[in-house]
Amino acid sequence: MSAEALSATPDADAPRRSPTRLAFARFVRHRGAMVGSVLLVTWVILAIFADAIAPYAPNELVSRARQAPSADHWLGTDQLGRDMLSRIIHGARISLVLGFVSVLFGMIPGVTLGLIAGYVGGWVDAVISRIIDAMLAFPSIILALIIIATLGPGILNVMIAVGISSVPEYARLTRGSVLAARAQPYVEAAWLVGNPARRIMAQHILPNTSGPLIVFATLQVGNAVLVGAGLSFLGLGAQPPTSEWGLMSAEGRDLLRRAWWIATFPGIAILTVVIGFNLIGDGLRDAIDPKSRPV
Amino acid sequence: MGRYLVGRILQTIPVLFIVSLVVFAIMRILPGDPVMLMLQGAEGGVITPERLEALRENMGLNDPVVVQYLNFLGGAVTGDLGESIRFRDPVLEMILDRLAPTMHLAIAGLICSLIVGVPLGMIAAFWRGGWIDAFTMSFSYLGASTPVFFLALVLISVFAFNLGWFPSAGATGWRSLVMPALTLGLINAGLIARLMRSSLLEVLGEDYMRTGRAKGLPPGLLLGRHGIKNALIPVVTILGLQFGNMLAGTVVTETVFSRPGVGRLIVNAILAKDYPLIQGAVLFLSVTYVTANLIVDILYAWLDPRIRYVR
Repeated sequence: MSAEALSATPDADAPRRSPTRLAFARFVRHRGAMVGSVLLVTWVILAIFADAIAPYAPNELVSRARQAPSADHWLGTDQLGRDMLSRIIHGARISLVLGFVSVLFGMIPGVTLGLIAGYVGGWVDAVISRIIDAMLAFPSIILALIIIATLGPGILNVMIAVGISSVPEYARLTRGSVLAARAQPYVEAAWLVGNPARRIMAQHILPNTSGPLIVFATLQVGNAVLVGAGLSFLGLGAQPPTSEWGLMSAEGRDLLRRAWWIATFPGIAILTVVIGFNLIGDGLRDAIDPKSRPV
Repeated sequence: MGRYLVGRILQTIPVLFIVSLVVFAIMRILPGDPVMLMLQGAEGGVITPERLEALRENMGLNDPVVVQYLNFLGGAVTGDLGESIRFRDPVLEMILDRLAPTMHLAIAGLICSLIVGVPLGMIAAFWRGGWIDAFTMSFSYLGASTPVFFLALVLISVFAFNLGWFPSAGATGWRSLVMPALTLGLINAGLIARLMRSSLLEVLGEDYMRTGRAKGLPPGLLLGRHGIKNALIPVVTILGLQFGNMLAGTVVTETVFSRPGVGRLIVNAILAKDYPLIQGAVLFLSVTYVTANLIVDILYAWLDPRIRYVR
């Protein structure tokens, strides 16, 4: 163990500080997490203030089509003559919303199922676990494709599909943590003083198992952005004229030789958002559980 | 080993059963009427109620759902996955026609990810903490964060358009396989490199490695026979998962590189609302995935005898 890891051990420096504050301190010292935070904060600001920051509206025809990047149009213009920079800034909204909403669609049912399975046990656990196992038997993209095949293409359906296809992983993760937590004395104590099962689950078990869940969810936002963009690239997600990054890349695909910037910049945008979430996710893992740091 | 084998094979039966149930359910929870869709897709003429009824009867849609499911299951087991609405060809035939290019791509991608990932992970473990280690971790990050289609487009720009080494589309000969396989391989190599690195670091600290050193085994032999072989075990366990990633990746890769294949078939079937084709292709891919995981588990048990006696 390095000197840095030693000083980060909670008992070593200040036993009175809360675990949350210690974790936050470790997070702030984590170089990768800080790089990720800067990336993401930038994108979030761009997304929120897109109307004020972007020079043009996303679907405004501003100039000749397929102009290379220049002083007037920093990232060039697309196949119809729309400003690429403006479209990418507005596209940040779509990708970030897609990422967060997909995670909610997966996390809420997944965590609920996992909590119930882990806490109630017995045949309820057996039934839920079998369903989870069966869902895990599909590669998650195939599961997402099945759902899109049923609901039809569209950005909202992509969020539902990406969300639902991650339900089994949330459920499995939560169930495992609950099983571990249920054996802890504090749960037994809460039960002995007469708390109802629902309150024990929500107020005692869930907060104490939320660490791995937060880490997984953060990484999952990045993954949802990635998968969502891929589905839009295939024509199964956002439809024209939406300034969705995956769709924009698809539109630039056949113009790669003549106008490389149309497909390239949206790709770089996706890359930076996803790296941001991955860096923060790993930073959170190291901060919440210092032992998990690679040897 | 025999008992483990039988038990593991039996375990896949309920999974396959549920997979078939989910795939069957696609057709049932559709918002539209598949028969209407079929008629709309096929012939422009007037749809009379009699024709509709005749077709429903013909397709067995008037039977109870349980009977329909059993018919579907029976068909699937005997290789009859129905007919494509759009092409009027048997679904199984359409899939089998496109199976070879997809399998070539998935396997080539897997091999590529191993060729890049395993040595990279080993190097990172040997020179832990140095710049090679930092480079490997960054590479791993980049791989996990890059959209498949973006890497594909970058490779096409460089190797097809600028250098002209490989064709940018099609599935003719090994040259057309290089870039799609490289796309899938590079995206997934990072995960393998990370796993190999941490696994080898752990193995290097084991007692049996010290024993080997103490009894004077040549370093190369020690590393080859005891170190790397044991470090590879976790890598093997995720091969099934990786193969699934590859199959999933083919969906996008085949579209970007205009390769015929099962992945592209599914995407086009979804866009055309060709439900029997979607159903058949999804069932096929899922069964392939389950089978791949079965093979990996058996391989794992063979590599690590301890596994056979657990459970």
